[in-house]
Amino acid sequence: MFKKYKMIILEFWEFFKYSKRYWLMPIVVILFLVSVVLITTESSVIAPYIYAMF
Amino acid sequence: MYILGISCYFHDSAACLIKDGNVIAAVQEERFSRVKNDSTFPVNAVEYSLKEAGITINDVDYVVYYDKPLQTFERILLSYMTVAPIGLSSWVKVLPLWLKYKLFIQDEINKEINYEGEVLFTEHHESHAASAFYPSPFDEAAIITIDGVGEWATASYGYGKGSELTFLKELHYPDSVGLLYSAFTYFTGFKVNSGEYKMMGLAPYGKPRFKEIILKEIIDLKEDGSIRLNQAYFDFLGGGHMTNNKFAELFEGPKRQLDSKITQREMDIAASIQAVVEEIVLKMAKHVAQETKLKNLCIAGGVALNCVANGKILSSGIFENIWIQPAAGDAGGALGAALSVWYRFLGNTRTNPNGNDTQKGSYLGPSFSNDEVKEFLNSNSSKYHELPKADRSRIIAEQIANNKMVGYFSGRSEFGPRALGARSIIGDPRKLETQQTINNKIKLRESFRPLAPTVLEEKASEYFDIEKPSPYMLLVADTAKGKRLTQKDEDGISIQGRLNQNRSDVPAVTHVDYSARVQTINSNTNPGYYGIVKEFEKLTGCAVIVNTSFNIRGMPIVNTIEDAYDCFVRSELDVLVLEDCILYKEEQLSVTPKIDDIIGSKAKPKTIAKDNLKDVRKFGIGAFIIFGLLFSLGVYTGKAFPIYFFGFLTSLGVGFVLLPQKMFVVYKVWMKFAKFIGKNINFLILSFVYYFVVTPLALAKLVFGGRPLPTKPDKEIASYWKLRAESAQSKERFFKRF
Repeated sequence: MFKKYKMIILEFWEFFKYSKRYWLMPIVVILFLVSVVLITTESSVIAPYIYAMF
Repeated sequence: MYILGISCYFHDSAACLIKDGNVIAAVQEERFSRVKNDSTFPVNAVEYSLKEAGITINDVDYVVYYDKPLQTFERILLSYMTVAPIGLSSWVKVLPLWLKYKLFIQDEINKEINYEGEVLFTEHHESHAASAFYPSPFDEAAIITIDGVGEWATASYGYGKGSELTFLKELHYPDSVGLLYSAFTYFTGFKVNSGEYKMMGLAPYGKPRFKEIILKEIIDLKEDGSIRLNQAYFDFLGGGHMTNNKFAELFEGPKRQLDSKITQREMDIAASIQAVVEEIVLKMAKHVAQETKLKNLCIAGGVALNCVANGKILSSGIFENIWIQPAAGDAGGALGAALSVWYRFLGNTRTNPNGNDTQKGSYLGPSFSNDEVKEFLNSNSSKYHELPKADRSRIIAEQIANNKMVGYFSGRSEFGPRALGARSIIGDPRKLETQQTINNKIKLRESFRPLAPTVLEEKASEYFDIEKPSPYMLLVADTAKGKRLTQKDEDGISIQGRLNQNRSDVPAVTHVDYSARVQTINSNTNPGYYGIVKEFEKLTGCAVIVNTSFNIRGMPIVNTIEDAYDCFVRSELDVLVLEDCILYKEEQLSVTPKIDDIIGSKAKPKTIAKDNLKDVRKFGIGAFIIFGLLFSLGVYTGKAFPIYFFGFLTSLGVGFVLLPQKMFVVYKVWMKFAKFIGKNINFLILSFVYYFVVTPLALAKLVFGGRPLPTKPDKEIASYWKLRAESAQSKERFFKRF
């Protein structure tokens, strides 16, 4: 999973160099951090255990 | 070499398999899933395509996706930044899909079809352009693509020569002819992405009295056909509704609600936007002809399904010849992407087609043998007759001439939204009531919907004002003067009243404005279907039959023998032709239960699958470890709550492992609860990001560089067309998601 995210962030960086919209990079990085949380909280592996504690 | 093209996740997902540049199979997922305009991953379409070629996924050399997800994602981000802080409700729905699936299309392809090789990417409009040019009958042609939106482009033009595509200019989001048309589709009370045909069919009932308002207020149309939408009237940037209250004020009140009565206002609005779109498309065509100086034109993209506008381009004489991709919408992107890899990425030479297209009549979907038909009918105890080869066409034509409505299922199914004589309902065009019977009793759809004619190619100009073949039913032409009947003034007459007018010698296929969406047929493309029309002509003197898609309202066109039979028994079709077998409704006794049996046999078993029990055990092991540790921590610290609470959860974990069958219900409830909590947590996280990251950045952008997307017309500039950074994507970029 780490490799997958690393690859797409690098590809986004390459893309923003191409489209000259570097300023969008922070938002993309934040969104990927969010996506890790989203996937973690929705994943059937960890999520159901977490909810039981709340 | 095999190349598999895939289009999905927006609308009309499809798969296309080509071998050494020849199309082996192309089909939409909706035909299998039975969900109209299905956008999910086309797993069934891929499975069928591989089966048709007799190969497995391991034999496929390249898989290509028809869009560049990173560019599309950038466009979506900037779209939200243009309207933030408005747009949250759409943001929380859209973002998870992108972050989980759409950006990681390679993983999805790997997961869904077990493909582990290289995934390539073509640009959305490159896919459309390739689907228009490479199968066309031209060695050299101008190309126009127009749709709602791809990545950034909403329209593009360029030209194709041999194996090469050259793109000259693009129109960028949010300025979109497709979205403009969809906005009016929404406002007139039809569904976006599927109701556009309905609005087009409604237009001839109205008067274009809003045309000037649209051109003055809603869009800025330049002489070269480029447009800018005035976003003050639209709401789609933030992913909400297509239009807003200000839009409604221009058109005398709120939008029509779905399925409520259609009034003259909606007809006039439909006529107005249709007239505007025709003007835009004609201006574009004229501009492209001037820029490319070519005599042939290829068109694709969703707007290319506007056959009225296509007919206007042809009759205008701007181009000598035009060819429109039959699957002009996103489904055709799968075909274009695959062909683009073959010609552009791999550098193969395209032989001069010398005036013959390579679309194979668009009969690119599944077919069934006579043996399969008989096996089905026998197992279903249906009464049928085998059609002798020599008399097949005559017998079917006799049924049509006797005013019977025939479901016709023969050969490979069509790729694209039009039924072309493989999955068609056919009838007698000379009887006015055919139109009402098919709409009201068979297809169960709006009565105003026009029916299309299939005419013998050699007789087409006798019945319609059309000089060129129209094999894919993508051109609208007027009924020939000699076939028209004198008409009374129809001002103030209701839709029904106007439908009841006999307008021509073929009234069932003559629309209220005398237009018809013509399909010409010749003996080479589909000899069986041609034979029926020819026999009908011998019997009646009329070289035209009614051809409409074999489906009922809201359902995709039938795909299999079962689908066709189901539609036959549930509608008022009189006759069903399944390959060389014919069934008469009056001979069928009790057929519905059999279909129910078939559906029932496909229903999921109620026993718990082994995999599910495995999941429960896995979950139990996790629960035992995690809650066991927390329980131990409670014991270590001597706190009562963790001891009892986590002790209970740990014992549940043991239960999941030891008694998975009995604990399955508890597991399901637990998971449902988890999902519910998860959704709410996700909503909060995404809202936080939207208000505390996206909105401030959008404000900063507004202060220092203006809005990310244009929202108002610019009267100072002469054109909204944008030059491309490169004439076509480079070979290296096929590997990139941008």
